[in-house]
Amino acid sequence: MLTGPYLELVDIHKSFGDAHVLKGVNLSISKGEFVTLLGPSGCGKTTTLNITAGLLTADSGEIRIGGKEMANTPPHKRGLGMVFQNYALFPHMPVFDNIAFGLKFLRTSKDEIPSKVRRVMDLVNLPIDTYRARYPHQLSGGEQQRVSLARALVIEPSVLLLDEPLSNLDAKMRDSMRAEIRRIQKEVRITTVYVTHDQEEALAMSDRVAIFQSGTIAQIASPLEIYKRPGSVFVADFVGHSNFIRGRVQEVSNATCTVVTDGGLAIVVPKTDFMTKNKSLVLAVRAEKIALLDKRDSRENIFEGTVESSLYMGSTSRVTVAVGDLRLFIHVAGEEVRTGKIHETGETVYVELNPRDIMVLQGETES
Amino acid sequence: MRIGIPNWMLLALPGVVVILLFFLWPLVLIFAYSLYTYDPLLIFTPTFTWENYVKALTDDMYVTAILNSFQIALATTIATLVLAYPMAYYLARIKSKTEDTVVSFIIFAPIMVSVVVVSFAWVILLSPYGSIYRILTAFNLIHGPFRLMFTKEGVIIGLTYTQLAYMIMTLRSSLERIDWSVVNAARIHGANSFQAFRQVTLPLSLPGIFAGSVMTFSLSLSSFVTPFLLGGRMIKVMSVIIYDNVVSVYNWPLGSATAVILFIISTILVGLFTYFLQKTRLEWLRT
Repeated sequence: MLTGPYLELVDIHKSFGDAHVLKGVNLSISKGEFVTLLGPSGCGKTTTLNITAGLLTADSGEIRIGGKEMANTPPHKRGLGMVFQNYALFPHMPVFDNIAFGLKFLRTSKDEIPSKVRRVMDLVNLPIDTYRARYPHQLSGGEQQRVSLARALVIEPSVLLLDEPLSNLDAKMRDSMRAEIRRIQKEVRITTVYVTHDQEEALAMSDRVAIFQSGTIAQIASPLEIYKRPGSVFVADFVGHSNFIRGRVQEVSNATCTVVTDGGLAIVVPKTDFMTKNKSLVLAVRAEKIALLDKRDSRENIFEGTVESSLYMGSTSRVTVAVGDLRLFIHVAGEEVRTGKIHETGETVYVELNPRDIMVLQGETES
Repeated sequence: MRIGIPNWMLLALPGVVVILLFFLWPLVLIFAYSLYTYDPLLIFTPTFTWENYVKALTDDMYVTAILNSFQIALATTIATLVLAYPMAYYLARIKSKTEDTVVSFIIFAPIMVSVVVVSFAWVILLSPYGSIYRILTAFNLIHGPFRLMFTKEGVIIGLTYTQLAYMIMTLRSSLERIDWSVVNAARIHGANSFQAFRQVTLPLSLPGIFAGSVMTFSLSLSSFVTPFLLGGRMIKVMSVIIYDNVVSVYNWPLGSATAVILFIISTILVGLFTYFLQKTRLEWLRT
C-alpha cells in the first residue's frame, strides 16, 4: 500500500501581507497514510491544509495529488473531502441532504444516492432512520462531527483533510471520536491529512507526525520516533514534557561522554557523533523518565536535590526538584503505590537521570 | 413588584405611550374622518357615509394610483435587491477597516442628504435635455427624444436610489452572519462557485432578502417626495393623491379613505410577507 508519494507538497511558500506564513513546506504522503500536521497556533499547519484543499493559493510551490499537478485546479475539482473545526454543516439542510451534497456533483445516479448515504452513515455509526431528517442545530457536537465526516467520505475522496475536528468536543467525546476516526480511516484506507495542536491526538492517531515550526516542517516521523528521538529542541519541547539542561562537553570516552552544566553538575550521557570537547549542547530528559530516589546508590547520574513543589494529580504526581541551579520537572507515576507517601516541599531527594533516557540535542533552548 | 409588572416591561412604557398617542390615536382619527361626509365649507361633517371608499376604489384616477403605487413599489424592490446584493456581498467580505469605512460612507452619503435635494438632483439628471440624455447622445446610444421625467421608470430610478443603502445594510448583516467555512465546505465537496452560491449562500441569506424587501417595499409604497417630484402630475401614486386631497382640495374624508386603503393593503402585504418569511424561515433558523 505504501508505494511512492500520493500527495506531494513541494516547497510551498505563502505570505499574508508582511507575514511570511509558509517558508518552504515539503511534504510527501503515501496512499492510505495518516499524517498529522502538528504545531502551535500560527505555525502554518492550517494554511498548509487550506492550500492543499485549494481554498488558498500558494505564492509558489507545487501540489500533486496522485501525480497530477493541482496548484491551478479549483477546490471542487480536486476530489477531496474535508472536515472542518466547526463542522461547517449546511444549516438549511437536513442530515441526509448534508451528506448527499457532494454526490449531486458527481455522476451518481439518483437511485444510488440513498444506498451510498446509508452505507456511509453506517460507517460513522449514525442510524439513518433516526437522523436523516434532523437539522444540524438539533444534533450534538459529536453527531455533527459524524455527519461532517460522512459528508466528506461519501464522495470517496482521494484525500481526506481534517482541520482540528475534535477541538470543539468535550474531553470524553474527543477520546472516543479519536478512536472512531482512526478506525474509519483504516477501514476505508483513505489518505488522510489531519491538523491539530493537540500532541496526544497526533501521537495516538497518526502513521507519521509532521511538526510545524514557524512555517516549515521541523521534523516528520512516526509518533514513536518523534517522541523518542526528537530532532531538535523545539520538537522535544513541543511534544511531551521535557527538561532541558544546557552544558558543555567535558570529556569524550568510547561509549559515553560527560557534559558539565553551567552550574557545575557533571552528567554522563550517551555518545553521539557530533560531540567534540568543549562543544555546547542541550540535554533533554522527559519528565516521566526521571526517577526520584530516597537515597543515593552506586549508579551514575544521581544528584541530590530539594523538593520545591509537589502536586498530586491522581494517576501521577508532578514534582519540581531543585538540583544545584537546575530545576527539574518530574512526573512520578503511581507514587503512592510505590512509596506510600507524597513528597513534601523542602524534602531532600535524589534524582536519577539514566543516560539511556537522555536525549542529546544541538541548538538552543527557547528560554 | 407588588403590582405584578416586571421591571423590564416598565422600560417599554415611554415608547408605548408615544406610539399610542402619536401613532394609534391619529390612525383612529383618520379612520373616523374616512367615514365622514365631505363638505366644501366645513371640510367634513360627522355624518356616516361609505361614499369616500366607493369613490377611492372605483374612480379611474384612484384605481390607477393604487396600481401605480404597487407597480412602482414592486419594481423598486426588485431593482434595489438586484443592485444591492452584490454590493452587500462585497461589503460582507471586506477585510480592511479603512476600505469598509470609505465604502460604507459612500453608500450612506445619499441618505444623509435630504430626500428633497436628492430627488431634485434626479430631476436634473433625468430631464429631457439633462445630463443622462447628453451623455447617452454623446456616445450615440440614443437618438431622438428622451423621456424619463414624469414616467414610472423615472420614479422607480429615483426610489431605487434612495432605498439602496437600507437594502445593502440589511443584506450585509445577514450575509455577515453566514459562516464562510460552510461555503468552503460546499466548494470542496464538488460545487463550483456558482453552485455554492445558489445552494448555500443564497438560501442562507434569505432572511436578509425578506427583511430588506419588506422594508423597501413598504417605504416605496408610502414614499411621497420622490414620486411627487419625479412623477409630477403625470404619474399619480396614492401618497400624492392623499396629499392633494388633504392639502390642496381640503377633502379630508376622501384623503383619509385613500390613506386607510393604503394602510390596509400594505399591512396585509407586509403581513403576508412576514408569514411567508416565518414559514420559509425553515427549521434551521429556529435554534
